[in-house]
Amino acid sequence: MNQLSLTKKSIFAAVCLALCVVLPMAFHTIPGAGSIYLPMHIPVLLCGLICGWSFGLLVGILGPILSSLFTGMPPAAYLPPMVVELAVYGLVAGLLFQSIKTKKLAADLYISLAGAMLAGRVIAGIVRALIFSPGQLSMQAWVTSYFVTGLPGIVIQILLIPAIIYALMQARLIPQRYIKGG
Amino acid sequence: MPIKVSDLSFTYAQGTPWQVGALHQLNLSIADGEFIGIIGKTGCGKSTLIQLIAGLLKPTSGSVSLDGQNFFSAKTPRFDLPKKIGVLFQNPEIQLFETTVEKDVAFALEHTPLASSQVKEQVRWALETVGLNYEKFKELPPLSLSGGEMRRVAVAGVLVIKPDILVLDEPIAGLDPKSQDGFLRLLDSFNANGTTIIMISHNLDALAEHAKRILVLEDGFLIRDASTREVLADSQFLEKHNLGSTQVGQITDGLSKCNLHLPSPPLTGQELCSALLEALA
Amino acid sequence: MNQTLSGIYLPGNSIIHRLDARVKLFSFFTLVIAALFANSWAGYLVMAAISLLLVFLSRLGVGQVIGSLGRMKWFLMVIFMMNMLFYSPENAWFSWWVFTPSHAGLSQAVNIVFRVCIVVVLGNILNNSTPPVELTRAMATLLYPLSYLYIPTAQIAMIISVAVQFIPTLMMESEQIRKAQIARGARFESKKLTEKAAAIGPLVVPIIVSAFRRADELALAMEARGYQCRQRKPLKKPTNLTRADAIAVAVSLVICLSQLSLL
Repeated sequence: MNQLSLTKKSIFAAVCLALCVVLPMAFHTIPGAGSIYLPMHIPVLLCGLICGWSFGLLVGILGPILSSLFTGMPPAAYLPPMVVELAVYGLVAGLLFQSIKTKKLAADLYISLAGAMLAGRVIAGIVRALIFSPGQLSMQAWVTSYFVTGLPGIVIQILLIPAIIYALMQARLIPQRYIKGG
Repeated sequence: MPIKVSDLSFTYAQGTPWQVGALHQLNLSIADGEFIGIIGKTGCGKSTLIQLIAGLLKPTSGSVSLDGQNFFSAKTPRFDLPKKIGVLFQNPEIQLFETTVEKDVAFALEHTPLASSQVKEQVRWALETVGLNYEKFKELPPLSLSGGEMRRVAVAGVLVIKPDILVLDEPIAGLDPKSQDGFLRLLDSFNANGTTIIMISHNLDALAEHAKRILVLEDGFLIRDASTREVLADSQFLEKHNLGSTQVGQITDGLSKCNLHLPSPPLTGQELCSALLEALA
Repeated sequence: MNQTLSGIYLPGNSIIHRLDARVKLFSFFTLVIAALFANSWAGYLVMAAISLLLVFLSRLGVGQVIGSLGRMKWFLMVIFMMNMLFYSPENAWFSWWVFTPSHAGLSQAVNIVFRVCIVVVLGNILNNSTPPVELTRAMATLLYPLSYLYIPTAQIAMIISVAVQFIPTLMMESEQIRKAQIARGARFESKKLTEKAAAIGPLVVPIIVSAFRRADELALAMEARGYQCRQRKPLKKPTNLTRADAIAVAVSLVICLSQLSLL
């Protein structure tokens, strides 16, 4: 998707950044939604897919900081590992989606998303274990916190984000990746 | 009384607010088949009131009841309420999300016990009502349509439940005059079939032509509840509360400045014409 | 237009107006950091006093600068309630449904709202007293060292300021979408995992599509006016910093360090 002009990519990135603040608030009225749906992950992943790895990385870094500044969520203490995790999401989603071309949009999207979410969780786990809270995080705790409790979120995002991408393509806001019907 | 609002107050200290407008001790009742216009300045509580009437906000105190049943005392799902309420916000096209027009319009019927053939029939009816050809549009993705068509699909998505009560927040703002006219006539036809219409609008001319009763809100208080004629032909009242005036009212004022006094202040263009003819005869 | 978070430039000739834009931006960031680390009543008091002092020095009028807080009152209230009601289920006064108000939540809520207010007031003083052109130039200058790492700093500055201006609009829009879908019978909760994604589709898809639509319009307008994203070297204008500039930098650094040491 490199037909988007640089200006457009920048503004799309800006709007994804704003959504990092807005979406979690929209979700807070649904009981328990924040931890299941991980709403801040959605704009970061989207930005990586649509605008490329550099913008994905940027929104991944700035999103949680801006949200914390505006709404107090996440609390500043959780910020560093979250910034790392989201930055990797944006970066890897962008890199994978730019390089994987299977001729099937859905396959490209699933692979990029799964790769990004896996990489983000692994790296955030490593960083947490080594830097932010060394010694406190056992392998088991990491697996539990990132995969078991987060599993619904992973499944939901793998279903939801392609739907959003399709919707944006239908609205002609982002270019089609493969032109259908030749 | 089908809709009864008693001692209704609303403040934003309670839940999840992000717009301005609190309400204080409102009392009113709305009969079946009325066409009500709500006017008032920005932030006076108009939107809050209609959202309370539609059961989208929970009153701080007092209650809104529908055929005697309180929205929030009984935990009934929306569609088991004694009356079906459709809500149309300003720029409703932003609520579209499905992959086809048919699915999007049918969304409001998803949680109803209707059979699929009946759902299809109702979707067809709703689309034709807003002037879209069912066969032509049903498979199209709604997000790929033009702005005007998206608006129509969104309206169909609200009308599809065949609402007994239709609540509208500035429905004609941003439409061109011809579409405004068409939309208002559509409302009239629903109203003629017994649907209660409750509509917020800044367009006093449209209300003068179509609404039968006007509610005026100011700073969260209901300051006037009377027939359209009584409120909109009362240019002193409108001026005192900075509500603007209708075009007919402006013309009547202009005429009286030229010493042409019409016997009773006309409300609509037609009335103005006949009053003028009479005065000049 | 006065519903956006950022204020507009109001020409004037106060001490604050005459400060160098780079100095103002630098002081703004140090004071924001100071506000973020303020963690005691004394710290709050100092920050509030400094903000008020700046309001008077800038001669912008209390109404102008504080007024935007009034426009944001619902937003602030939401932040307050969310922090107080959802902060932590531990030591809650009582718990009802999902709400667990607690003392820790209350102090967190006060904390956050205070910080947001300070940041907004400081941001308003900055925006109201500095022409936007100078401000973006200053932002690019201060970030410029990063561009040696091939980071497009001017563009990042632009993205952040656009995002901040989008937040209130998008928030209002998402609230309208949520209510419109509820009115159409939407239920955002679902037990089954795969249906959970479908259940929030009616909420998330329109919020994102309409946000992108706004972004698309803005980008078109910017391109139509000839905006181009490219890295520029900051103009080497021989603007010497005045004594007032030096004092401003020194004062804001002292405040920032004192807040940090109060921790």
